Amino acid sequence: MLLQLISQLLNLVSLLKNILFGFLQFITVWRIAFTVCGTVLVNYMSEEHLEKLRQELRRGILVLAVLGSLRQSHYGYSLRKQLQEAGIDIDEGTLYPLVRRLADQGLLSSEWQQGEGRERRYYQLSDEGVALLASLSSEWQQLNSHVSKILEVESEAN
Amino acid sequence: MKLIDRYMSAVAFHLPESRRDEITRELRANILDKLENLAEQQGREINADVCFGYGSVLHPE
Repeated sequence: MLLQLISQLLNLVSLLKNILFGFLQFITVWRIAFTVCGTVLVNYMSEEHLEKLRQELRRGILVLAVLGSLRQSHYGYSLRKQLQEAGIDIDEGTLYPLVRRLADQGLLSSEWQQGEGRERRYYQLSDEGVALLASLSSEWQQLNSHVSKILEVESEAN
Repeated sequence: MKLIDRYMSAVAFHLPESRRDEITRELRANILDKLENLAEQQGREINADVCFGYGSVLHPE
């Protein structure tokens, strides 16, 4: 009678043990899975975030680059070429609408001209554009020198 | 120049009517410039109908 009771008790203990270990295993597997997924997700998000910040940083500077280039007269393609040679690569889907917007704002004047057997629209800074470029570029110089100083301190500290 | 015409009408579809002619006129010039330059680089004539290496359709602002 007592023996029977003990053996039943042992059975119960081993059953409980199995259940507990099964549960722990289950949790461990899921924990690993979640950790892996989380790491991948975080990496992905930070890359996306970086790209977004990079674009934000570029946006204003591209305006400056375009205005600066258009101190000389350019048509769409020659402007893109010139910027590329200066190391600034803007895709056409960004550059052409930007130029158009600046023209709409009265910062650029434009005229159609015949050249090399084809008509092209030439853009150049208007008087308003020249004035704006002057103040924007001094703003840029100041910002750039200040931020450079901050970044220098940072890199010296490291 | 069949394909470029079709491309132009596709772009025009996305543009406000008031600026349609002006923008497509300019875009066409830009694309022809690009093709010409590509031809120079590769040292041969580029058939605009076959090799129409322009990116995505310019989206309306």
